[in-house]
Amino acid sequence: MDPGWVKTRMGGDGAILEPHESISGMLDTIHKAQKNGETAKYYTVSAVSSILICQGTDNVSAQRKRDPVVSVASRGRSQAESGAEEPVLNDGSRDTRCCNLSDTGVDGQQVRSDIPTHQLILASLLT
Amino acid sequence: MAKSNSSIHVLECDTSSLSSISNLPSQITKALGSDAKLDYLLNNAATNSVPDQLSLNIDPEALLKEVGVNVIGPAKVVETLQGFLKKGSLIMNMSSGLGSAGLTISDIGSKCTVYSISKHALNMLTVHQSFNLKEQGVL
Repeated sequence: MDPGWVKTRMGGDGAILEPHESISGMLDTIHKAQKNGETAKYYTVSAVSSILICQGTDNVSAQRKRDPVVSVASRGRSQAESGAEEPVLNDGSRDTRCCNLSDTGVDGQQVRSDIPTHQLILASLLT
Repeated sequence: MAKSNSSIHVLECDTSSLSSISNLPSQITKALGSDAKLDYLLNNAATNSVPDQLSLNIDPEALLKEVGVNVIGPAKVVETLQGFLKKGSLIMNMSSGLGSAGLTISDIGSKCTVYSISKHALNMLTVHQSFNLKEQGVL
């Protein structure tokens, strides 16, 4: 689990997520993973409006133009290569992404969105 | 919180210390009984002790210490508590975006190298734990 860039002592300057946002995202993800019997997966709680992963590849920039909200949260390179379905996240500023742990390697592919509904509601308030 | 709720037990453990970890089972047994099941095991404790070191100036001792806390700690906690992990138990290892080679390449760049290496190793530990606990029904 990657908790995202959180406003804690370790997070330091520039952190984006409030602790309660990160924690609620993680709790949702854990419960969902348990319900679905998921194992050996890597999850990231991220802020779409963040600048943490804005400095991405051209693919990220391209996706940004298409959908400014989805873009920053998604790993453009992986999605473009894997042909995975674009996550629909039109009103969110935060989501929890999930991918196989192999995706954390150099040759990562496959990203799918994993977005609890109430996070979207909270997210729309923050946008 | 534990004082006002008898179902909450706070057990102290230094996850950088193997002897401290080895004391956990008896503490859990005392609090919850020997047939207790851990529904969730969240390995959160970690250190980012030398954030300024990048790949060209790694202090070997610092890297070994980081791996000791961030990788061996969660490995030994899970190993030690294996008897309390049963069908449906879930282990969560707290990683980081810095533990992802993919994210480091595409988005983050070189930052906190020593911590990053340890978290990448933790991701791999997680894969192996998943395999090794599969028969037990642990997620």
